[in-house]
Amino acid sequence: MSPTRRRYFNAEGIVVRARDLGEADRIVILFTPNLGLLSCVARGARRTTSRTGGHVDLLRHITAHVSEGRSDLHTLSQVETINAYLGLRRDLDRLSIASHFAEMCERFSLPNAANPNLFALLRDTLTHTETTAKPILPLLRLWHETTLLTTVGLQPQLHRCVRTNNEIPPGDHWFSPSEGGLIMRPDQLQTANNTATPDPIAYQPNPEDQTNPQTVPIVPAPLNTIKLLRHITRTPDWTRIQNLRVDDRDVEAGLKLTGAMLRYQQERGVGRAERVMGEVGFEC
Amino acid sequence: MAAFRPDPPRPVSPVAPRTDAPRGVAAPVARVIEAFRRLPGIGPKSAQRLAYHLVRMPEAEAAELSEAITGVKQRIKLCETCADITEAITCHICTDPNRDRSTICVVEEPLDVTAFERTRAYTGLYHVLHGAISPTSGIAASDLKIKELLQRLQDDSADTSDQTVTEVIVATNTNLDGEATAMYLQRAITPAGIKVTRLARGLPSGTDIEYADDATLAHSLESRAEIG
Repeated sequence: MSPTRRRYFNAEGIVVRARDLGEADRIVILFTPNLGLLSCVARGARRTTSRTGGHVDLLRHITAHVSEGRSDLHTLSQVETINAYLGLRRDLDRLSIASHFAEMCERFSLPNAANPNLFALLRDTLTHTETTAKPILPLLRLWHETTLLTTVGLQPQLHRCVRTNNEIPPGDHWFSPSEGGLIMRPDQLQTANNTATPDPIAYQPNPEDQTNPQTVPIVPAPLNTIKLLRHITRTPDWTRIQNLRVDDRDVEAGLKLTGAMLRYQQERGVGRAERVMGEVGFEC
Repeated sequence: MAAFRPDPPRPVSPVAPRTDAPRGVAAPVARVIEAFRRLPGIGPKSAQRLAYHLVRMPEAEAAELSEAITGVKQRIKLCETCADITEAITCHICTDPNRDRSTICVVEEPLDVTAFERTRAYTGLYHVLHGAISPTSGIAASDLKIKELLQRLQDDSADTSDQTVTEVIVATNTNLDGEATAMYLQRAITPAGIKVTRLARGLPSGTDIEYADDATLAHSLESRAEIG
């Protein structure tokens, strides 16, 4: 809430969480552009005759009149749907991945913390998820996760080695989620430094190497994946990215890379939606 | 047969008076207040009102309430066929020879069975999932009684002596989680050659169209019927 308290205000947001409250009420968490996460109660929303019930379902872009509560729980009224994302509700695969997108954005959001760019990213991604052809959904996920990291100020370093600060030459390298960028291969390091002995800390041949308990396993970063990620960070426009002809293996490698970084930054394991996606049988 | 467990499970610690219990309240009353506060929809004020009502209640009534609460935990089981709450190994609906055994109505909660039974319009069998798939809450198919439903259908198709199931009616809620569950069931059951249907969706009786949301209106149009 803004420093000046208001009794009533209008809010726009996407419903990212919902749970039942009492006899017929529902608590919804709205992801808003200017107020961050906003917890609201929709009174009587579970009754069949409720005027708000249909609007406050998950993954709906809504606008509402909000009565400010004394605590951080406000009350919704006069709810209207801006976009119901009906395309998501008719396809389990699209619904699962859309839930993952919402969960990722929610994890990087806080109450009272405005982030209009992050909101715009989720709104646009949900729209794209409705219409994008299913084989391209993994690429959409890679675009979303890369753009999400950039939007929250965690853009991966894809041009310089995060350990030596040398420019990354073309080739296959490694990616360190904990250090937030690429690690140069030792043979490339020799060329870059013009020295005979590679820096021993600059290369971990075994991603499972846990000699240092603080070290998060590094992830392989093939050349084409690096190129793809660089292109996405340069061109954050999905309409141009979706027409790229990319190998599925490069997208898969990119998702391992962004997924590892998201998990490290959020200090959490596999997401809620990812778990459901695994059981649904949608590999994305 | 599994004993009935409330969902979701919540950690239960011995009921002890909270430090924020009202001052001057006797320890046994504070303990009851804290116990009531754990119930869904009960806030601190309601918990206090209920606790003091118990204090004023005749001892026989209090004993009856206590016995009822203990009994519900000790005697209740899940029906080994449909997973509804029952006292016996199999519930009275599953054992009723007059029920139509060609249809199974899949619902989220035991209370939904009660709602359908009130209508007297459905004479088939049920299957209770005890929840719904929820990508946003991380509830997956393996957390529900979906595996038991698929096994039931498989056993039914192998059993030639009985009337086989020809239709599964998915009666999950019409919210996002209910839709996700319905789509999952459709995907899992259809390959077995069993018809999967969904309850009709549309405008509820007595509602104003101007307040209907897009999804409800769209479903109403899709499910429109000829007048007369």
